[in-house]
Amino acid sequence: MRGAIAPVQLKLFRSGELSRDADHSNIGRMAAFAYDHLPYPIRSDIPNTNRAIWDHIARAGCWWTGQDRVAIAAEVRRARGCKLCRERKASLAPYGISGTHDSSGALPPDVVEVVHRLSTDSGRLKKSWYDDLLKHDLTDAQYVEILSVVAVVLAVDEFHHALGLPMEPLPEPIPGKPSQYRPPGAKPAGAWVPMISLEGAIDAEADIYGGSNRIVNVVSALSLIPDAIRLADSILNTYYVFGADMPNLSKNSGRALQRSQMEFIAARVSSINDCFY
Amino acid sequence: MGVVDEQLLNEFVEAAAHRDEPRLAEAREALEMKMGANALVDAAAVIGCFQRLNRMSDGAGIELDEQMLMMTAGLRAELKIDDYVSAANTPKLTGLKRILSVFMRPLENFMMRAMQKGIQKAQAREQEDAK
Repeated sequence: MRGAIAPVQLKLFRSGELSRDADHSNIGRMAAFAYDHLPYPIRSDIPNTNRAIWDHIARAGCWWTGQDRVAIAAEVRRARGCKLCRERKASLAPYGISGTHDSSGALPPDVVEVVHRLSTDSGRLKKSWYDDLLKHDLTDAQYVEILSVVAVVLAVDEFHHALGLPMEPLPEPIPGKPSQYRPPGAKPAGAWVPMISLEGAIDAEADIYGGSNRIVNVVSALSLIPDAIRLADSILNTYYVFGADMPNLSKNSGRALQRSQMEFIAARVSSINDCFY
Repeated sequence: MGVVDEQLLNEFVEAAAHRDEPRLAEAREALEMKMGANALVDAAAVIGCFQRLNRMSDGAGIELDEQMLMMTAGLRAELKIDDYVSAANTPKLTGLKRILSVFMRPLENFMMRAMQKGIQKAQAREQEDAK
């Protein structure tokens, strides 16, 4: 079954420029992140990476369909206006406030809870909260995949928001079944979720750390979903600095900001989000 | 050592993070006028990057890597970063490692100063190249 037709495809079909018989499922995605007419010059790697992110979200992952993943992305945006999330954020005791999130109803309540908490108050997440989620229907791998989608949507949306750009329409889901693949090298150590260590990155996961001889926990945080790690490099290279430049605080990968300015921004964002790591 | 244009960058980050749209519009304009459109775009990209990384770190409950934990004890105490809720995800150092981290505090200061000097040199080189 083909997915819903993106508006741009519909327009082209009606004008006779495209045949309905052929597969043009990438047309909607190719038209996304068209920054040509903006007041700011956007580096070409940014729309390329954003399109890769949108494509990644739209496809079935390990545990969620493309439709689920796009629904998760939509829920990230809905979380910003959620009354329950606002009350919790304002409270000194967020776990003492119960209620129902403002959501579309497309996802189970546990998933909505994960998406909203991650989006609006991740700095105050507790292991007990995570453990409670796993006592219900959610698995650790499903949770990590939700986290991976939330994180990339926020990267793109916060970039747009900071520049005063409208939110990019979410991609059309691409039909397909989740692979249900769980990497055998993922083990519990150093986090709430199992992760693949450098030594565990073998066989199908041999490529995920790009031949590095040392990794830190934030690099392997999402490794229960290997494709999330594979996407991560291009996001860092585009939105921050190239991997090779990262350890050297005097290198800025040719950006218009000094590296110290980039680190200052990073530290301020992390401080505002109460991120200890 | 201060960061060049620190106040402009801080205003931009805070306005974006707190979703204060009028303040953000002003901060954007001020940043672009002083630092240029490319710098504005790069600043927005770093914001996006770390909004993502913060969720990954806190959402996965990752521990601070041991080497970093030992080398930043003094800095974390000074900035009260250990008071963050997510600090609970990282087990406290014990035994010999805890003792070592105390001895490493003077080294921490030395390393910070060395890093600052390196960054100042790089900034001075960049400014020379720009002339």
